[in-house]
Amino acid sequence: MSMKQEKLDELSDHMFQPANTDALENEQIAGESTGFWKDAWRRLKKNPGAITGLIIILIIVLMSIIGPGMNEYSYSQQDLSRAKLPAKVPVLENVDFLGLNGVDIRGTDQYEAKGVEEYFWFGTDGFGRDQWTRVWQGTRISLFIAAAAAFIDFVIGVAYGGISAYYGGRVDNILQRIIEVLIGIPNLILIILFILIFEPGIFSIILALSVTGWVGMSRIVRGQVLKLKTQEFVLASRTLGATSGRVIGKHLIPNVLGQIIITTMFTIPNAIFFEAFLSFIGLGIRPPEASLGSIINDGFKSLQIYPHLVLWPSIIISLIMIAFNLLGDGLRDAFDPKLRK
Amino acid sequence: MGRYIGGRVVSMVITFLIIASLTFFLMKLLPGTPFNNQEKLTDTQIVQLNEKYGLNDPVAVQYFSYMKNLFVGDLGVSFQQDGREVSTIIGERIGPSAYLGFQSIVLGTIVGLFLGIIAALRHNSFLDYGTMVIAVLGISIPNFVIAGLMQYWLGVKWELLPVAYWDGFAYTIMPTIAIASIVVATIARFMRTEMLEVLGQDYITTAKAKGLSSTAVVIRHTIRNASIPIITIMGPLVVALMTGTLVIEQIFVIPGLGEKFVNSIMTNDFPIIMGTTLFYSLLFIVVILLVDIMYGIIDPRIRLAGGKD
Repeated sequence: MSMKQEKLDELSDHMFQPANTDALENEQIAGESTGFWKDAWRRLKKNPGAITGLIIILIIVLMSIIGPGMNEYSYSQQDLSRAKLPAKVPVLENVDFLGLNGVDIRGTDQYEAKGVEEYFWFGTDGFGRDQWTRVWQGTRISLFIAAAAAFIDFVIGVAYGGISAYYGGRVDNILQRIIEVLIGIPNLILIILFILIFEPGIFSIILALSVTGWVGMSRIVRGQVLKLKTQEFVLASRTLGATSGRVIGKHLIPNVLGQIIITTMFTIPNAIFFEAFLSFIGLGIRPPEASLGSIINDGFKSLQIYPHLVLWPSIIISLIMIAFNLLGDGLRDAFDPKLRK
Repeated sequence: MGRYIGGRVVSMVITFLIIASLTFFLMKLLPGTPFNNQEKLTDTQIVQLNEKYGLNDPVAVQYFSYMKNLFVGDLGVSFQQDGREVSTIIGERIGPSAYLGFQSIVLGTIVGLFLGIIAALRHNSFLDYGTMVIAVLGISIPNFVIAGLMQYWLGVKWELLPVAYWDGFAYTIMPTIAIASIVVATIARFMRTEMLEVLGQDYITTAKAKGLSSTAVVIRHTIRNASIPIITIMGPLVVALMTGTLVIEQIFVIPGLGEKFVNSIMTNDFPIIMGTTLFYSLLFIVVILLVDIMYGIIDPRIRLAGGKD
């Protein structure tokens, strides 16, 4: 008891100060606030797989832009006197096990045999076209097709799903019945039929990929908007007199954007695969234009003797697919608030 | 349940009719001629051929006779192969494709489930990461790249397996692996997620608390509950298999339906394209329906929700 009294005596007046009465200052949050995007980026940075994917994508995109211009050959320039050369790279040609010394699988130095002085970094194809230029040109076209298809999916899917969910009722009912029929049709079949009608080419491929591609996006957007539109902040915005356009544009879309980006990340590799697949069944890009799929398909014809024609484009298409899948997975984890601990 | 299935069958038939009509009209829009060596034919011969195959009739007449024939299972005759019945050709070709598809889905499912279960039980271990790497690679690397790598290494370089053609079990190994890769990857990933979720459920704790051995908990409670949702991804997987057989049969020169389909596209053989398209669509629709019904039977919770939908 007396101990307590002693302690109390020690607390003299000078140890106290009047509390800060400035209300605003009291409410001040010390740390910098973390928004949704910042938070997502922070989590994405911690995911080594996603960052690797992102870096690979950036490098491949960069190479698809500058790659075709890195040497003096064009993607369509034929010269049969230098056909089917294996890869040969300066400096690296001295490292035997890399196989970049211009010696083919039977052990003959094709460059010596054919008297070619130049270096072809990925070798040349059956018409003597530089494979390096063709592969990066093909990557450019594959990426362009995928990006365009993903963009169209995005526009149609977001509009369709958004309208369906936002207006609900009869509009939703009709729009969803249409979707049900579309889902019943195997998209592969529809894509093939579309390409058959429009002559094969970049734009008919993009169109064909978009015909059914947007359905997935629209379903995801619809699901998200249905969930969001009954929440209080939307009600508050409406009560304050916001128009439908403003509610959709300022409140609903930004909240669904994470999901939209994730879906797009998976649409792109899908489109690249389908484009390659179409090339395989003879409905792809027409020569002399090239895509990764058509280059691989060409290479298959001489796989046993000239495996390098399949090797390089296969590695690049696989890298693109892996990178987008890794980034997509990473983004899904980063955007999903349920995983937040 | 009966009413639900009835409704689904009706919408299935409607979907199929729409697909059939769509296919027909899209085919009518196709450029090019269906006859071999058109330039060698005289004008009268072309007229006769057109007459024979009813290509001179108004589109509406053609459409109705096509739909009527379809109703009795008559898919028409091939333009290229001396008027052989399309249904006969499909019948001949379906064997290798069905075999390949079946073998791939069985192998893929077993391996995928196994990997997924191991990964979840050894969560965050080396095995788990290894499985996830396999899964990402399996989903990402296109099946034709896998096929090409195998053809080159296993077939040409090491001569372990036949490079192509269709002549016994050894010839099915490489195509099956190439098609099954996506199945393995998808199922392994899905199963792992489901297992991890089930392992965190209260009833697992209860099962452990009442003294069940950990093997019993894993087999009777975890795996059983986790494998139910696998059925939902079977639909997309069947589509992946279809796409797979188209390419893989082409690469390995397998006399299956996919190879026939691709060749008929290149030769403008309309009746075969249409017949095969409808066949694939029907297969797809039936699989989706079966998946939904099976899901309803296995998990009563879905049946209730499905009934209201």
